[in-house]
Amino acid sequence: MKLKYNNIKLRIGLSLAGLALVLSQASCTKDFEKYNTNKNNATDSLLNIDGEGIGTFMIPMQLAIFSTTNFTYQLQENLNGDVFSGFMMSGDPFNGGVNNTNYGLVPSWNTTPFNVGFQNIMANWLQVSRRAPAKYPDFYAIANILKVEGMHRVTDIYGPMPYSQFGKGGFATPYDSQETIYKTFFAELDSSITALNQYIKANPNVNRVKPYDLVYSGNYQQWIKFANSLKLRLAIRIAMVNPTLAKTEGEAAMNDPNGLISSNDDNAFVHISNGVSFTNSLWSITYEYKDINMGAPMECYLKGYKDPRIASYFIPDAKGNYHGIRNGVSINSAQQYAGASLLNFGNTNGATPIQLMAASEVAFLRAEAALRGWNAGGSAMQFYNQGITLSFQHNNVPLGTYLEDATSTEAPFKDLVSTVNDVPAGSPYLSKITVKWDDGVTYQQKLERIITQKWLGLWPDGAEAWAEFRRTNYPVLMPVVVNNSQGTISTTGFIRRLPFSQDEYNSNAAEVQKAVALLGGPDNGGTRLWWDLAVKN
Amino acid sequence: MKPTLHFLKICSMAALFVAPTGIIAQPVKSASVTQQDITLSMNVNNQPVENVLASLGRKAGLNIYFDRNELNSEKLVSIKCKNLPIKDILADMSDQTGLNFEVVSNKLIVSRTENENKAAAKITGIVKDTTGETLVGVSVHIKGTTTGGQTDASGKFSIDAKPGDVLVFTYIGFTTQEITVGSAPVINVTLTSGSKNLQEVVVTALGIKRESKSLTYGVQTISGAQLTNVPDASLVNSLSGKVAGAQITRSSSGVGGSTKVVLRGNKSINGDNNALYVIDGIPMPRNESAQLPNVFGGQDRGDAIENLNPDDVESISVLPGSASAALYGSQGANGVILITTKKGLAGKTTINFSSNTTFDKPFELPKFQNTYGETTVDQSGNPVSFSPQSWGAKLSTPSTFDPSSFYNTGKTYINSLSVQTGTQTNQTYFSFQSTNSTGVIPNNDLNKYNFSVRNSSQFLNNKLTLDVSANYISQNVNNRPFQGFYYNPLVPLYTFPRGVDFNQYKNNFEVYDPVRNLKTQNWPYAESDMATQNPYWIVNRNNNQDRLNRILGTVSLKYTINDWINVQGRIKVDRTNETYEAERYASTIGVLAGDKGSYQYNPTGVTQTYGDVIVNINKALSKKFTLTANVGASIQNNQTQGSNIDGYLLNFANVFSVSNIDYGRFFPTQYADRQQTQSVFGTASLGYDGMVYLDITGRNDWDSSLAFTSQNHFFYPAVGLNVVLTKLFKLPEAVTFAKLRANLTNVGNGASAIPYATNPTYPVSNGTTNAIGAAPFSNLLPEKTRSYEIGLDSRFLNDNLSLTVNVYKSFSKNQIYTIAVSPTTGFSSYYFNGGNLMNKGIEATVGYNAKFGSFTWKPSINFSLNRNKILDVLEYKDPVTGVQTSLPYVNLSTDVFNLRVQKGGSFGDMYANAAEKDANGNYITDANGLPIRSNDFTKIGNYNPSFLAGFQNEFNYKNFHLSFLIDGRFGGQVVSLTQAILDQYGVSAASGQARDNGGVVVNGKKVDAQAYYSTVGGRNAIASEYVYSATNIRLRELVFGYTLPGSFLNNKVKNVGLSVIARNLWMIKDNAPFDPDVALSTTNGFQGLDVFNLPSLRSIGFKISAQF
Repeated sequence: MKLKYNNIKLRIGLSLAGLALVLSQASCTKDFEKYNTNKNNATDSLLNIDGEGIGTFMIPMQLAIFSTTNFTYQLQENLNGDVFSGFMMSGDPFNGGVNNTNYGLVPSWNTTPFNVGFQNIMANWLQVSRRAPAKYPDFYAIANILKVEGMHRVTDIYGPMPYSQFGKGGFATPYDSQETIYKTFFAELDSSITALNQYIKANPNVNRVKPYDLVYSGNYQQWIKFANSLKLRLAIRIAMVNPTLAKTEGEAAMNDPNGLISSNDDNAFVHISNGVSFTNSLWSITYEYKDINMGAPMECYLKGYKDPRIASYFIPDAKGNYHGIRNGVSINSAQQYAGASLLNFGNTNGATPIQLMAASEVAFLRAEAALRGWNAGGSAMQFYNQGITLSFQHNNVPLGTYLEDATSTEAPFKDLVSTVNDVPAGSPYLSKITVKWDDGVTYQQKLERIITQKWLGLWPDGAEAWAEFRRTNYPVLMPVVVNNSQGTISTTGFIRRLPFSQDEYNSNAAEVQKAVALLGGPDNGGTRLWWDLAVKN
Repeated sequence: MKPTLHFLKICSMAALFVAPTGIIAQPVKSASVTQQDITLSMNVNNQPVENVLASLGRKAGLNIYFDRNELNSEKLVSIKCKNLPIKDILADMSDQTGLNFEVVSNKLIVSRTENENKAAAKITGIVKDTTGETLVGVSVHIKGTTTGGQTDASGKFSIDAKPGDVLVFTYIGFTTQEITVGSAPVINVTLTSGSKNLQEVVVTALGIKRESKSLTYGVQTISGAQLTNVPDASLVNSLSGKVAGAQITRSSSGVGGSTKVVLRGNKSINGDNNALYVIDGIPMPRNESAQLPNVFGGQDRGDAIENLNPDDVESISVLPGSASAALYGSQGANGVILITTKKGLAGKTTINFSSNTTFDKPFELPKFQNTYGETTVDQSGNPVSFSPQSWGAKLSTPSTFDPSSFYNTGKTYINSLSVQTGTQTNQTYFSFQSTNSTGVIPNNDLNKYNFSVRNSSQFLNNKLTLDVSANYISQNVNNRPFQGFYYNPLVPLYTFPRGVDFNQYKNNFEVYDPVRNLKTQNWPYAESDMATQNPYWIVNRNNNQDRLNRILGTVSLKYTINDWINVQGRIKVDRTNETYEAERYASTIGVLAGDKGSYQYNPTGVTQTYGDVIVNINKALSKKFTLTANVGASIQNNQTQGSNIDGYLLNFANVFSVSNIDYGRFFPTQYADRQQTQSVFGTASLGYDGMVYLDITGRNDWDSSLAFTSQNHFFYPAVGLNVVLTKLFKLPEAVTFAKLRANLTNVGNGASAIPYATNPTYPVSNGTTNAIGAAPFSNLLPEKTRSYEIGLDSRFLNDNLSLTVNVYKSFSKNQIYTIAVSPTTGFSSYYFNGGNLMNKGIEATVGYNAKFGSFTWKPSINFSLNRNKILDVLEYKDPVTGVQTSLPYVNLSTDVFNLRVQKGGSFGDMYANAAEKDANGNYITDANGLPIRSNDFTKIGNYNPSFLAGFQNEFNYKNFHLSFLIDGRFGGQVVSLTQAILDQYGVSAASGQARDNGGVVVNGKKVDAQAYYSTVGGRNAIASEYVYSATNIRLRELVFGYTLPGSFLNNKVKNVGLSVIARNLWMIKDNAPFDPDVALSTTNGFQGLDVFNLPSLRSIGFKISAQF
């Protein structure tokens, strides 16, 4: 009996003690701020340690230019630029077979390049710009270069976009015309180059950006070269629409004493480093999603030129053959094009670095600059041959007599599935341009030769290749077989852009509507961008 | 030593004193003979002792002296006598009331009986209802004490009581009856049923018990038996159709999934609109699993209510308004579902056993064609192989492929055992339930085991009550079905090309790959965007397992200071540990897994601790005024901790381990969230003569989710008034009872739905961090809902007809919005407070008891309608420019349709790029005669019903019992993306019909069926063409049962019941191609949408129950 009584007393006592504990806890709310702070996250004060709060935001910028999230990249670039450039084509009948690849533009896909650009590049740039300028001009300069590299790809998809007023004006951000944006790009690159030069001069042996630099591991000289090369790329882009500005900016870039990316050692590639890892999205889309294959024009040019790069770009079938898929073919089943060639990533697979800019492109840019009569520091032929050489070197294939081939032209296309999709010999959609440089041909033929080889060298950067195709109409590509644009995009005129992000019509409606005026045409895939002239020069 | 004696001792310690105010009768003549010898004739029946004494005093010329505290005027006496000496009359009254009467000259002095004088004796009896059925589990206790018990299986009770004690018989659904113990040792009682709760004591906020008639707000009570008649693994599903004003929607996730219960309309645009569950007065965390973020897919892993044992439920009270909920704090703004669980019983040990077996089959499936085969040539006439579509030639013999053959017969076995036992001071309840269910989708099963123990004990002469309970739940669910496209076997199953032999993929869903030395998936129809795979691969090789262990422990201690005040303290800990694992074998489609397979490991622990201290006061202030008051403080802590590791396997195929994940690309995440609410609250109810009651409630919450704002606390008051009309006015005799009530309530709601919104930080992953997406919400204000309610409770015709009507209106302001802003702002979203959402509606319940000899019929109808209007969406100030912007609408989801909250519209409006039509309603067509999708968004419907109605019927004839429930949801629209895709794939019945007819008629002209459905249907369907009325009427529940007479098994086993049960037996009306009561998920944005939803089920089974 006594034991039981004690036991009861104990139970009651414990309960009361518990209640007292609860009550004592209830007495104040001083821990509320602690509770409402995510303990697994970094706070602003923690980011002050070791200057982490500046550099850390540059990493997501580098990982967003070509998004390292596979499904994001797929919509950011793979199912637009990579396809529209003729580089690749998907054998997957997305969206019931009506999708971007046959001009049945999918609004929910086409918000991605815009959103990634602003949420991952611009938003992180803003963090750097708020924290860095005074004490970390070098960080800020590099962040600006990354910003220009990332955002020119966005404007080259849509045309006008909010840029100069980004993050300044509350909820409604005005769009800038593409002309304004390009001018801003040049100014930003110039100030970055100046700032880096000043910083190097004052701090010769410092490379404090290294832990956050996945491109050059803190080599500021190489960043300047990249900035100059980027400036040249942008200058050439506007060479037709604004020749004066283009020449000024292009020549400034080419004659800067810091130089350009002129050897493959200076290539701007994003590498797995500093404990930051990623998987090359293109590899993942190729091998995991099995959503992307060789494009028909790639097959035809590489085969036609007997270009040895075909083996470093693609995987042959058991018989050693390569098969591309033409844009906009009718696809009813993912099995239909199961025989199309896959992309080759060599041994590096998912760890393959991401190409931002390579030396061969710069050489071709200089070739075009020379062709246009700018002071390029050499002749068009010289840079043309250099571009091809650099590309072969970069792909580890022997050049052989490639440069001397004056007869080979693009091969006809034989579709895996249907003769309807074939492009037979003699078709206007097959180029007659050969490899060997010839000073005696017309300006346009020279331009075609440069751009065609630049296109082959740009692989796998489809967005840049598509932009250059739109600017120059080169290389000669094959039009879509099925056009689901309901008349907004001309089949033979090819797609010129993506419509503005559908999200903007929800959240920035007034400004995006004004931007249509800046665009100078309806907001669809058939309207030309500022630098995309109807008559090329 | 009997505890009852203790109690009486305490009571009798109050000294007798003669209160002058107690003189209630003056002598009418002087006494000439000994007053005791006077003979009187009296005929009173169940009159208060006070009145009888007054009458007796007048007749006998006695002055009566008593202490009002002792007299207990509620005691009733009945005397029928002719010329009986007064002392005999007094002796009889003494027997009946337990009072002692002493006549001294002309004074009649009334005092408490000395307990030694009148020893407690065993009183026994049987409690029956008006039909003569014995009632089991009727609570019998001595008024003013905790002494009591319950009737046993044969309706018998036994209690030690003294003459004069008042026995109170309460039983849910019956009118409470009080009987004063006289000299007779047997008291048989007949309780009148029906007219329900009005005299009953109902459990209200915080477990406070109140007389139903004193409530100023509407309550609907459902007994445990009504829930378990047709058992469901999740108990809230059994409320469907039974509660006026409740809109109950299941997610399409099969057994063990979540259920959305919306009471009186949606009040929060971005927050949770689910009712709060409260168990024995303590709010329960919802623990709802993450709901799918988009139509691609996700999985509903159930909610906290789903894993309770329905058999532990004594009753459920639904408090649909927020008035009642003010005391629960912010969580109660959406109304409360209050669950009272069973307790032990004093007296005989009873063991209840029941066993349910039900078989499930899909209830509503899409309609398919089987006469056209797979697509074999493309539009250009070229052969294609393995097309997943069925636009091929007419088959020579119709395809025998039947998608419904994929479904298994689901089987659910629920076995329950419970024991109730106890003594007068110590009662124990124990229960065990096992639920073993196999789903209709192959390999989906749920095994749940519930253990409950509850002990209530009384100490210190019954002044201290300790109530301790513990529950343990172990639940294991294998392969919960996925919703949306990914991992959903229904997508490839329904679209499987007709004319192809399905068996080759069924029997050989995997084939040996000699190169890999591995069995790989056999499926040539894979499509990346919907991630279609072999349905049998999905159910066999994309496995997931959800293991849940949950422990609930409650300690409640109540100390009765005296008969009008007590103090109560409670602590509850509710801890859930859940481990979710998903294994996707190598050769799963690349969208979902890597070359070597993939694995997800997600352990989570959720802990809610709750504690409160409440002082309860229940005092008669004077003869007419009564006061009930409760003042208290509470603290609630919610903590969630866990991590999620989900990635492709690195080097070893099908080695499912966190050690084999490719951490070069998949980064683990971790979470540890904590939220605390501290509250003080008080409520007072002032009653006047059982006629008028006034309620005032106030509560102040301190909420940690408001940290970093200018004010971390908020106050909200409520006031209510209630008038018992039948007491106030003389109403026609037909009106037995009528009560009018009204209340006005404010409820605040903190920001626990958006933790850390006021203090965003940077998530760290892969050696880096990212800019913050949502701008800091430093001026966050709590949401506020103000509601008004007027209600009538009434009973007519001797309580046989009852009618309850509630009319309400509520305004929800300061809504928390997450506004997706243009990413050009530097953020992806901003939070704002604003908006004004109005809900108004009517709820009505009518019940009737009809009795024809031994046949009874109890019909009841419930009806509710709710109208929602968005008075204001949001006015916000641009944080930089200061420009005031008035937002015309926000989209809660943007996929098949935009769920748009638009000013002037109502919650649930669906907008889409509809097919363009001209002024005459004709389609505007393109060159091919096909409809054109508009660039503008137009309203295509609203998923909320216009009104809901339920019609419940109970028939009893002798030992037979039949009950059924027909319920309907009227109005509203739903959209079926399933139908759109089946049309595009050429597998729907419509697409077959269209081909038979030579095309689809658009504006009177026939267009090619395939061209039409490719334009209108598919993943990007023109949603306006796939809108269906959500009106549906169904026979939801049917029970036919027979109870064996006790004598059948020599009364050793009693109440042996056998019944046949069915759910969803008959869909009386439904025009949608799916069951509109099932939603894609329980989130606000995915209501009214079918994306290959798991069909709802028709269940038929039987139930056996017995009592020992």
